[in-house]
Amino acid sequence: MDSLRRIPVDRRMVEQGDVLMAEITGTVRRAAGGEMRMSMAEVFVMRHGRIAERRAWVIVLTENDYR
Amino acid sequence: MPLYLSRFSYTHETWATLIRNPEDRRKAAQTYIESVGGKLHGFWYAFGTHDGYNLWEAPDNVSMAAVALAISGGGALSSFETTVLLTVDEAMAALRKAKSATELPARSVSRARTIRRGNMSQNMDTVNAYLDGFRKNDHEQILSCLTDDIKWTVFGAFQLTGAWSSRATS
Repeated sequence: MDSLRRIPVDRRMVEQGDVLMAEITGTVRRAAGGEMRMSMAEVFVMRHGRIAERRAWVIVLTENDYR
Repeated sequence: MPLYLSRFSYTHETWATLIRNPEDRRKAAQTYIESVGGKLHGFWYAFGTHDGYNLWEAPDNVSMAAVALAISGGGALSSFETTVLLTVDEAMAALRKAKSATELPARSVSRARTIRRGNMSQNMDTVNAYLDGFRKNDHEQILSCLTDDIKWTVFGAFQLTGAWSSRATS
């Protein structure tokens, strides 16, 4: 079982108007032991300074930095 | 606690494994949801578009999203979608609140402006605060960055829609 107690640490962002895109990599600690590494691309749609929509593409990395 | 309805489908590999070794998957679902302080109310398999349905409750949407991510990360499912359910009382409260929601307070309007401080905008500040909230597991900080009708999609995994009802209780 996985847990989201540890979350993305490495992030880069760009924005245009009220839309931000982020590239995030991070590690999730599994409750059963071990870790799960992930690479994520995320779109944040903002409304009045808050996040109104978050669209994410999450890839679990098991072998190396890209797979 | 808020209730959630999840629709899921297994991968072909998962079905093949279950055919070889039949297993009651309710126990696994129960373990996931109880790890965040929630409760499994029901687990059904079904004909149709989705292989099965879960009805469960969790302390808040962040906890439910954590469960959805953990389950999806396991790779046993080909799809997993979750809908936040509102009670009739909550819907009635929303209807009453909608009356006063047509006009934004001046403070909210001012927040909408993108204020540049160096290369960092206010929107970027908010997203950073949101991600830091996840890192620190600070639910209050996370929720303060979201609109009440946040829509969160993780493609290939799940979609959470509807009001973030935990805001109302915080």
